[in-house]
Amino acid sequence: MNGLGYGVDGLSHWFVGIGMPAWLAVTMAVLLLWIAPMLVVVFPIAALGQIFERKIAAAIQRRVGPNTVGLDGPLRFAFRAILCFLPRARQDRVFAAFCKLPVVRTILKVSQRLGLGQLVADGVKMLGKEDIVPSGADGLVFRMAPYLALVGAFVPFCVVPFTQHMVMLETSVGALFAIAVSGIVVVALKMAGWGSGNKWSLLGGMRAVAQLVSYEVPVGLAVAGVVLWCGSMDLHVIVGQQYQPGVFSMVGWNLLQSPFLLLLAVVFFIAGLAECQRSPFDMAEAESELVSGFNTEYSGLRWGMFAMAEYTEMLLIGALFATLFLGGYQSPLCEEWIVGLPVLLETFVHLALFVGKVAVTFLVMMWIRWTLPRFRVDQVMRLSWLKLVPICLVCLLGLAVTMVSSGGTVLGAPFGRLPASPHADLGLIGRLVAWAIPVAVVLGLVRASRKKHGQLHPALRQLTGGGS
Amino acid sequence: MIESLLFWLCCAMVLVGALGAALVRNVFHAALLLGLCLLGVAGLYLFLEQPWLACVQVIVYIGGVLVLILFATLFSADAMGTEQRRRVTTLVIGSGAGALALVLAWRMATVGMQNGVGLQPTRSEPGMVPDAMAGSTNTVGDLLVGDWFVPFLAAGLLLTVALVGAVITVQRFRVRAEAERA
Repeated sequence: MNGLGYGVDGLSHWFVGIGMPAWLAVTMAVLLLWIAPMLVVVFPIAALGQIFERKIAAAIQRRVGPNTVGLDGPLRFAFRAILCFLPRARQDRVFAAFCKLPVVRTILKVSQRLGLGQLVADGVKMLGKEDIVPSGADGLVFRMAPYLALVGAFVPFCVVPFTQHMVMLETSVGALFAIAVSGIVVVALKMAGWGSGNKWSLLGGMRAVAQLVSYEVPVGLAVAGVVLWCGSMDLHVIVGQQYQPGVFSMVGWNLLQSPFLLLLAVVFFIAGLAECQRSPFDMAEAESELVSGFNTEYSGLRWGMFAMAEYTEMLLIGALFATLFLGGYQSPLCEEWIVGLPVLLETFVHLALFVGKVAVTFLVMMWIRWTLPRFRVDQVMRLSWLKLVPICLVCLLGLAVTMVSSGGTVLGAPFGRLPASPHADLGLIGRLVAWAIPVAVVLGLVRASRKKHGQLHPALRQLTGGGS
Repeated sequence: MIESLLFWLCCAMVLVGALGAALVRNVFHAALLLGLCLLGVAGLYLFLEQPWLACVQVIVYIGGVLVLILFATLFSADAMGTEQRRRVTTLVIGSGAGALALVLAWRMATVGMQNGVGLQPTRSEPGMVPDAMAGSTNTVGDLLVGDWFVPFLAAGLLLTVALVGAVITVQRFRVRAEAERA
């Protein structure tokens, strides 16, 4: 036991077992389990976010999108750099021969069709831009803000369990830690808005802060509901609680455990969108009214950091959503068999499943962005305080009542690692009842509304597609 | 080694932040330095093996109080501190309070040394197991809904009253504004 967590311990023991020196074994285990998920999952998706965004936007709005720049340019550049000892003509001949290989030709063609080279081009453009600090700016504050935004976006990934073993920080306060650290982004945006010495930036910063502070409340309450249900703040334990043996392991996911949790999941997703300032909640960087708000004055790499922080935060919301509501890294079907696989294979399958779930939420966020128009400032505030927060409070109460009435206790929940699930003794009938009561209440409300107004409430009518 | 470096870093953050918040003239900078101080305190909680307390410190003080202060600086008439003047009374009161705090801190430190509790980071043992951190969170939770249940509820009630009061105050303003508009 070297105090670095169960996964690292296990893997380094295995490495020592196949004849590796101890220091190398620990280093390898840390690299594989802690650094790899960041390098394989978080960084690439955050960096590729821009190009995904453009392709998806093009697909949704029936535009063309990047479709010209392939990877042959960067590849030619790499060849010239590697073969710098040869004359230019020879370099080009080698490159042409290389490009004629069937595999390379296919890859180049596909990359050009998808416009993948745009990513490299954009990156080079961003790096090449002049790094401007306006003369009216508050220099140090202006320069510090993007770093702080990146810290707030990346550090919460420490506690996210990518697979059963890939988790950097196994702590009893995982969910709380993620919320707390991502709250630092608020300060960063405020610093960017103030430090720019620009009225638009300041207004954008004000909007961002007001919005983020408001939406931390529903996010926190939604997480509190899951914590109440699972009896732990440890994200690892929360994932473990959603394990269900049998073919349909999906049934164990928090999303399907209770209608209140389903509602909390919806609230968490909406509030999460607002937390990472995505459309329809992007009035902080409203480009048409505030000239893109808090990042007006940023150029080049510093602007790139803000963009990266935004995509990383989207990933974080996706990862937390998957962990809290979608069973984390677990498979929707036949989880029992996957757990039985050899450790390395199991880790790989789980990582792929986790990335898949995060990618789906990522996709939905982009879909929403390119479909819905932007909210007004007051509408954003109203949605949080008058709609989401009351819904969360009702759901918390409902969860507590469900747990108490089904024999589980709220205050006396068993502590320790992987405690017995409070809803384990619900059984099929209990679960049916838990779903039936809230559904009956909603149906009753709809009926009452119809009786009172002669038809459905306008909001409900819109929801059900216009029929009265 | 790394742990004691981090410990002293947290101490430096607290001290520099606190001193800066008191001495810097630019109100916005002072608020940011206060944030540095609060972050350092959260780090010290980690060294006391109280991760829950550290997280709550960050949520409440940095995510809440500091952001409110940053908000309020925008309504300060003299945010850059160009027109501030040092008043003698402020100087006397401030240095007096500072001296008193210094004496108290010195006294506490010497008493602690005499009782054998030195300025050593508590997490210096290498075999720190993650489960050892779980205990403190559960203990805090048990205490909050056990022995300290009534004070805990009272604090909640106080905050609720403050919230309702704020809403009523705003409502009164709004009613007056609407009356004027009419």
